[in-house]
Amino acid sequence: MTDRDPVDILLAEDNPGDVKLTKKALEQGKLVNNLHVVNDGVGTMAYLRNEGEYADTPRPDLILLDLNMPRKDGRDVLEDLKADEELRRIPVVVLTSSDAEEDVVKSYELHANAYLTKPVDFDGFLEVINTLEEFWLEVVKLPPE
Amino acid sequence: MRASKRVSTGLLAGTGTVLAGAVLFDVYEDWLVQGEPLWTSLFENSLPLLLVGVLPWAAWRLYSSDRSAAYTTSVTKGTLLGAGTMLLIASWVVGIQLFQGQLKPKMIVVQTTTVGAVAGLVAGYNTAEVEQARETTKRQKHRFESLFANSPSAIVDLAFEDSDGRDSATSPTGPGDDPVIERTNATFDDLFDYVDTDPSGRPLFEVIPPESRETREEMRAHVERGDVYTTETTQFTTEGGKDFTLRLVPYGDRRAYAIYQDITELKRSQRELERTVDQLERSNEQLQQFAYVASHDLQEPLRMVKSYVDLLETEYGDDLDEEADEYMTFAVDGAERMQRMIDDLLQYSRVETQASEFEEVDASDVLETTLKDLELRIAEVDATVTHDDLPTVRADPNQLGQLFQNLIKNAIDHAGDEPPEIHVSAEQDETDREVDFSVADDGPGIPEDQQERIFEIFEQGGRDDDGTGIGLAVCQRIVNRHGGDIWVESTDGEGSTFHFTMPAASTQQAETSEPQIQ
Repeated sequence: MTDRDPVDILLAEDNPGDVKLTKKALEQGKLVNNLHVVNDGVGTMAYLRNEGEYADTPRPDLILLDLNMPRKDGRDVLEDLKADEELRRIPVVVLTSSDAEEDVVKSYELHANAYLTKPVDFDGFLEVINTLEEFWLEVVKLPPE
Repeated sequence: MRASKRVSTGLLAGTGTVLAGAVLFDVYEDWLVQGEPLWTSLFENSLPLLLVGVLPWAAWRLYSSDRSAAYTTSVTKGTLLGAGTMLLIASWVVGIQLFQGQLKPKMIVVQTTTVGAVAGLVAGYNTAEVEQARETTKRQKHRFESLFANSPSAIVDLAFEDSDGRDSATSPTGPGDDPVIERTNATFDDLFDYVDTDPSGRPLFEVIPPESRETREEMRAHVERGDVYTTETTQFTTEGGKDFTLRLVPYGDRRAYAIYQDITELKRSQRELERTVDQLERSNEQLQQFAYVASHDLQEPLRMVKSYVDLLETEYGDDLDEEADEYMTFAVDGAERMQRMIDDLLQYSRVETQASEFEEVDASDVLETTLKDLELRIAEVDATVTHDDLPTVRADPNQLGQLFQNLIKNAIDHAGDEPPEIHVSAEQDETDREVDFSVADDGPGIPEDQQERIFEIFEQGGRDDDGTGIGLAVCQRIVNRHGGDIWVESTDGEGSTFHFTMPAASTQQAETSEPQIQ
């Protein structure tokens, strides 16, 4: 499946360090991908609804969502996203530094498709991103757009 | 009341009239018909004559007296009984003598006197009883008066409707059923500033305003039903505003005692206690929140440090010299150590945030599970862990397991060079309310001056190890949550024994001592 079209991944993350790390990790992955980055919850919703500067952006195949973001946090984004008939089918992977039980429970309650804690070291991070990519973009069968 | 008085008076007067007629007839016969001297005849009839004199007097006294009906009736009964008995005996004696045809005046006097004496005895005995009853009443009254006067509570004797028919509607407070004060005790007078004036006769609510309309109506309703009414009220007194419990105790016909008990102090300490508990709960919650946020939010920057040091090494490792490598090692070590501390801090805060309910757990089972989890670590240092049969306790099973784990791990971590020998035992105290667990090791022991400090967070008791010193702090927190104690007994160089207490099974003590947080 490596010769398929590049996939679009939306990364909602306010920490530039994490954005860079994710980019690095994805660069080392097997899939050709286009990574789109938004820095807060409001931006995320604008991107997904093709509003303003995001008028021509492609619909993502996967959303990587940080929970703690300014303006509108990941939980609110999840809630809006999963309430939207158009957008609810896009798989959302919560990728956060919190391993608090309440965050995990809350995310799944809001219909997150997966919940991952960012590992402390880069190798671990790399592994998580690779696994993610492989599972969500190659292994599982997703609904057509 | 009046009817019975009239009947009694009538009976007495009637008896007197009948008796007078009989005496007059007898005197007439003896004196005029039989020609006996008048004095003999009068002498013979001296007793009935006395009665003839006494009866109207008694009747008059009864009629004009304002004593109770029961008193009138009993006096009437006594008089009639006495008079009747003497008449009967006298006529019986006279009858016999007439039958024998010979009148013996001496005999008549002796016999009637005997009966009179007996009647007097009975009456005297009766009077004595009455006296005795009066004495008892007096004592009871005295007892009550003493209690009433010296009670630390302010007491008001109340009438809800004046017995003289005076309508309480005429009271200055206007229409309504305000109870009227009959009398008050000294405590009341002191408290409400009535030492020089007498509040008697005034409506209660004028002297002590009620808190609301409902209170008045409820008070009245309770008194009518004869139920005790209890409420709380705040009143202005000579000592300032005070809180009282008011107990309205009805007695008799529409009467009641209003007892004001001063609970100002109680209220004050109660409020203070509530405030303190509130503050404690809040500060505990904040602490909880702090520990959680600290451990949680600290992860983020730490992850940045660690990830980018990693990345630096991966991407530029070849370009760096030995010195730079060393710098990086220090950075990584620091980050790792911080990571452990954060994890521990999180664990520490979770003692409260992720706690389970207390249940009855077999400590032996919990320990067995813990030992299985520690199998590798135990094998690694060739440690021997033995234990007695442990009792059932009331605890959070996970936390009890964590306690055993931390204490055993602590013993292993701090063992000397020899393979450690650890023994877990338990003792139930005499009152059966607590179980004293102990985890004993044969390690180097803990110097006395450090025995308390080791339970503090991030305190390692100056011992050289790579732990963060949170294990024992977590233990203490767990034990505290269970309302128990934890301490260590140790002699430097001769091993340590860690003790902790847990509530024994089937006692409710644990529940009351468990702090209700979150």
